[in-house]
Amino acid sequence: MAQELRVTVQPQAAVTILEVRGDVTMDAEGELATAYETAIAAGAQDLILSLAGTEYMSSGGIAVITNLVHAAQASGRIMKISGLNPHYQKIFRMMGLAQYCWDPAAPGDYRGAFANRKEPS
Amino acid sequence: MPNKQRLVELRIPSVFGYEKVAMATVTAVATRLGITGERISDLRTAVAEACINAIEYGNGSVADVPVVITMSTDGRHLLVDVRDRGLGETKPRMGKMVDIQNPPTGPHANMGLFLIHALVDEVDIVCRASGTHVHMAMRLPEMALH
Repeated sequence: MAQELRVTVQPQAAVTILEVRGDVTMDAEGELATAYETAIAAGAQDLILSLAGTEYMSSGGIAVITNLVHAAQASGRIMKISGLNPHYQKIFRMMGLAQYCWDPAAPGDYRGAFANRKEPS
Repeated sequence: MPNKQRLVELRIPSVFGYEKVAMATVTAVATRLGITGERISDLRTAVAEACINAIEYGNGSVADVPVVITMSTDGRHLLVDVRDRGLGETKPRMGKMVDIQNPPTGPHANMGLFLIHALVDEVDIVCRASGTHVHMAMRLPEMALH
């Protein structure tokens, strides 16, 4: 019924991409947390959560993502969300999460998205 | 009020994932009535969230207790009703925008109701001991009214 979730960790030169494929619901919590912890253990600093491979996201899934962004922020890292389709871009704006999204088509490159790093609280 | 014409009644088990059956069905019905594009996406998401709430809170995720989704039209709106049996919580709480410093807790953090209200044209929620009914209405495009 639900499209199986797969999260691939792709370390790149300056940023680690967590590439998500499948439905993001509250059941995604374990898979996403494992991918995040794998990335951190490998030394990841800046992270992009790519949701280009996700067609369905529930509010429970958005809550899971929000917790992940918060965890990254609390540890002094920045996680940006990318690849949202126009509908979910709107949903994220409604939910007050637009500032955590990054549009690869926007002017400049991803480095600008990670300019405002904060020290861990 | 114009006569209401019932179009489709769907019963899904109270199992997460079956909300996608309701999403597919409402997409087909909305398309027949001339609703297109982002409006369909909005309706799909609202119906999914209503079903998820019904599955979890209303029916306590008891698989063989159905969530009943009714789609009808009054000639001006597509009306979607989602009903549960009130086995669980019967007073849904309204969620809000996310504060990233105080992230939502719990599986849904009540964000579903926030989205439902934001995405469809009219929402009415009736809570009874026998269950919660979520009534959602989406205006039909002008051209579909003639």
